[in-house]
Amino acid sequence: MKESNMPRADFITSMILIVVGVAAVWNSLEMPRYENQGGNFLDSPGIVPALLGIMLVALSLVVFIRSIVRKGYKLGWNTASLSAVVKDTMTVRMLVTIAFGVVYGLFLMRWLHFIAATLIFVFVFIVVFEYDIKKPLAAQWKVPVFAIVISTATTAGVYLAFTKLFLVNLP
Amino acid sequence: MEGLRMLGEALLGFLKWDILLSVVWSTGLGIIIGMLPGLTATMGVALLTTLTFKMAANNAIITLVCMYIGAIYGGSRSAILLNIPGTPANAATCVDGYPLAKQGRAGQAIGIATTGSFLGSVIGMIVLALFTPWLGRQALLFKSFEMFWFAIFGIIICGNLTAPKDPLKGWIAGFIGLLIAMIGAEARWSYPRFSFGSVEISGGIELIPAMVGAFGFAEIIAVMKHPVMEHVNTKIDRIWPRLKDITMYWKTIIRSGIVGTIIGIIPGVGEDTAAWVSYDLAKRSSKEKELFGKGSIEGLMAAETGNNACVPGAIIPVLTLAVPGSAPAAVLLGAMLIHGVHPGPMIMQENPTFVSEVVAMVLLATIAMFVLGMSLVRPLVKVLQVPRSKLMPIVFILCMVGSFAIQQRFFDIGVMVLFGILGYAMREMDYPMAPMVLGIVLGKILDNNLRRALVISGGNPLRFFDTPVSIILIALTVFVVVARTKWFAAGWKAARGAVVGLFRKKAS
Repeated sequence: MKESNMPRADFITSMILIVVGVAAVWNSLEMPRYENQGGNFLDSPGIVPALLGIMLVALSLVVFIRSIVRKGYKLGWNTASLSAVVKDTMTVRMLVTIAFGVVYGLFLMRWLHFIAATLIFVFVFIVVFEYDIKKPLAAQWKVPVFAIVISTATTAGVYLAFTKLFLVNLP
Repeated sequence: MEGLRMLGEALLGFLKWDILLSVVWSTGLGIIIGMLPGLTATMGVALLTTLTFKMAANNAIITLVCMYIGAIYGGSRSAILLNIPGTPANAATCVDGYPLAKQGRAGQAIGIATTGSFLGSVIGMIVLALFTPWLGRQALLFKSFEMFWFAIFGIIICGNLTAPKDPLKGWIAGFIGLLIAMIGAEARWSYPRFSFGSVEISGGIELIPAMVGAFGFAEIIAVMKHPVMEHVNTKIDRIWPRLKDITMYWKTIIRSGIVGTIIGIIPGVGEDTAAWVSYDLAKRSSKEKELFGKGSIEGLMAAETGNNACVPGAIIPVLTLAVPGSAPAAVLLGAMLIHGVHPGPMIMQENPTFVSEVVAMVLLATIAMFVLGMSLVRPLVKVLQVPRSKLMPIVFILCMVGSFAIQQRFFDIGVMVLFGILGYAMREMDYPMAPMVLGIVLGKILDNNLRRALVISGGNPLRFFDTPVSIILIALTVFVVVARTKWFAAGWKAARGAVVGLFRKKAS
């Protein structure tokens, strides 16, 4: 991230961290103390998380105040700037990669067998990132062909290595 | 003599075909993983931990040590040939390695980097062998109060050194890691903290999936974000370094080796800091300062010696205090625990031969790294030309399978994905990952020891300050925090100026 954007990023992240810290302290105070079972308050489950939450709030507050001094509260959000960020190639690539990870890891692996899920994931990943929409489809026939070869080889290699060689069960 | 005998016995124990084969393939794989930008030593060790789950403990751990040493060295290849560090530990290598490659001296640079890595690893190994038994005995002095302060000191110094521009963010990352470690059933009453009724969350956050996500998936996102990869076109010339290149810089080699090892001992501070500090010290004391940044052999040697010396250094606190000296060492610690080895203050009493065995592992890994590093230069250049769009999905599959394999839980895959996104976001916001990882490792240690200390002290805060070790750790922590403030820097500059002025007056 550019240095010039850091005060704004710090403004937002410090607020999020303060909320997390306060939530941790709140949740910790609600934890049982087991004093009626012979426990010591100083040994209760919530004492250490509460102290850590307080430290997190204190440190994040310093970052928050520092970001205000550096005028990080001037977010400068408008339709044009947000549109520019969303349309930026690197942002799109980043979001697509995250989406692939989430879909494959959290959904495909639960709904399908490992072999089917992995074949689909590798094939679609390579095609999406290597296919150039500006060039004609016929000129890029190698992309899906290589994608099929690599996805098949990868799926077979990983499946056999893990199940036969390393004796790990796959989903 | 007793130590040498134990080392000899340990070495003999490892001279079996299956173990030597493991040494060769895991070191080779480590070099490949290290040299590919986007794959880090931490990711390599974490993924291999799951693959070696069913192996015997010693075979598994030697495989991981070889992967660790191979990966830290392997990153120098892409640093020299592509100006992209294969792992963060090799960032300093780019500064002089890449200019040498542009001058047509890529082979010489690779030879120097390999030799530097070998010598650094040897120096670190010697310190590991000599220092670990002593530190193990001192670690017995660490009781609840001292372990609590040690955990705090570890977070503070790790945050300080891994976020030099903004240590506050390093400390925040550390406390986030400590809070993450609080998730799940706690040791005293088995109360499921922060589980929100979920049975899976009450089991806690496993270290390996969290690390695979933070260092694996996060790297994949960062790599795929950038569409262009530079292709390697350089010719590889003579690889074997001249003896003159090594003997001329013997002081730099020894200094970088010792500095790298010491930095490895500091909790959570890793090979990248070791490389930069070694490089910086070499530049300050060099007679050829003007060459630094333009293809200095001395600079390249310092960086690679420092980062590889850090590896055995990072293993020292793992063995003696069960505290990792770096992120890959944190995974190594997790792997030892999985395989039933219990490092910590009692290791010299319960399992003294294990320390010698680890020294032998480092020695074998170092030799394998040197032999493979020198002999596989030209074939490995081809590996660098694999397009990222084909490599990264394979890496992600390994991340996913590796996270699942430990406990066969889909929850761990979710942890990996979540920590990947969190790790990437933290990187973008300049929050370093190392303190967070250290916090996750130290969290249980801090929790148990702080609660025990509070009960022993009966709530009296003065009990936290009444042992010499506690006072030393508190003083170091305060010094590390205060040293970053502007008024301290101004006071230090004034004091240094006054002392120098006094000596000049006396001289004249």
